[in-house]
Amino acid sequence: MKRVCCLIPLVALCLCSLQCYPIGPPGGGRDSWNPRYTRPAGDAVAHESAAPPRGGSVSSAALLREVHLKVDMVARGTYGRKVVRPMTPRYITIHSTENKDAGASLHALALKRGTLRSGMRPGGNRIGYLIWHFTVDDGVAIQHMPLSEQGEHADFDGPGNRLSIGIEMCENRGNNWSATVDRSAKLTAYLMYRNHIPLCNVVPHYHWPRRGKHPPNKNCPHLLLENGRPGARWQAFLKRVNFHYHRIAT
Amino acid sequence: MMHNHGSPTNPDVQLDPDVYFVCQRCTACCKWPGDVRLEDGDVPRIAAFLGLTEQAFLEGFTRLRSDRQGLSLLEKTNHECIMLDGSSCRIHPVKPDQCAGFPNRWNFPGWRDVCQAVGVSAAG
Repeated sequence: MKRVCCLIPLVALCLCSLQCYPIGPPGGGRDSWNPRYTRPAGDAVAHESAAPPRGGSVSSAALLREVHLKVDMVARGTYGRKVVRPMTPRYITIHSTENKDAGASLHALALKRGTLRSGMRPGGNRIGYLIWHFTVDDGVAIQHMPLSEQGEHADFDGPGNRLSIGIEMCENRGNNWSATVDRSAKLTAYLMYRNHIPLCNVVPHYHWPRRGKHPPNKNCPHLLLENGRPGARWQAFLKRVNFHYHRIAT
Repeated sequence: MMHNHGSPTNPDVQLDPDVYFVCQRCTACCKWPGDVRLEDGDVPRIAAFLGLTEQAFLEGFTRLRSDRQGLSLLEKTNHECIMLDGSSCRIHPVKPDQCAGFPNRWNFPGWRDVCQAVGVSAAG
């Protein structure tokens, strides 16, 4: 009887481990655990590893100035930051806002006021709010929370939220989409450099399946996807990120 | 009796073609919690009426809707619309379609219990 009792915790641990999400390879290598998302064959850009920049002509500080970053954080302990959950970022997740009216400043206000709420449920949103790290439009990139904290923007309690920096791209009327894409690419390149994140770990929101949602892989950022899946437009974005990354002087 | 309650996004269809409900400016609907949707055309019209740039209006009087898909007017801490000034609406001549459409183009079950609009024959 005693032996059976000793085995019960072990059995429980084994059952729990079967439910765990894989968190991607250590060291930020190529992400290969998601069976739903396979990169196109012959995709040379996306297979680049975490190699250092090739020695461009721009300092990382100068690239950051081009991003035109404004820091406007949600106050610690409030709304989306009411619970501080540590993070060491290993991925960068790209979103688009799907909002025709609001640019980066209005999104920043919404986050600081706690108006972007979400129902909490087991396996769902963990804190009752939406929050991510950056919002980008054609004029500015605004930072809403530190990179050392998890957001709530991708896949509930999955690796997308636990391990990735979230960047939202604005698509409101009057906003220059090309300029927004380029600014987002510069920001992504800078974040790759500063956090040693390889290009292959720059992913669309689509990359992270969401438990309990149908379809589990969201058509986001929809303006960079084709028929709801990464294709030529996503590859073009990655090429832009890669271009800016290799502009950085080492 | 109207069974179809329409939708705040319905700008055109009169729910009851025979009866038109005339708003009595009771401001009850200005005090209910929830989004006050701003649709295409609302922002420039309201900004111009207030003598503001669109950006100033957006930053001072609007927020993202709870569904993140668009904008809503802000509300005070007691849930009243930010445009409710005492017992009148600051932007009544240019109020959003959602406001102008209630209760003739959209309403909800039991709305007659909380709205003082008076019905008149639409034929008149």
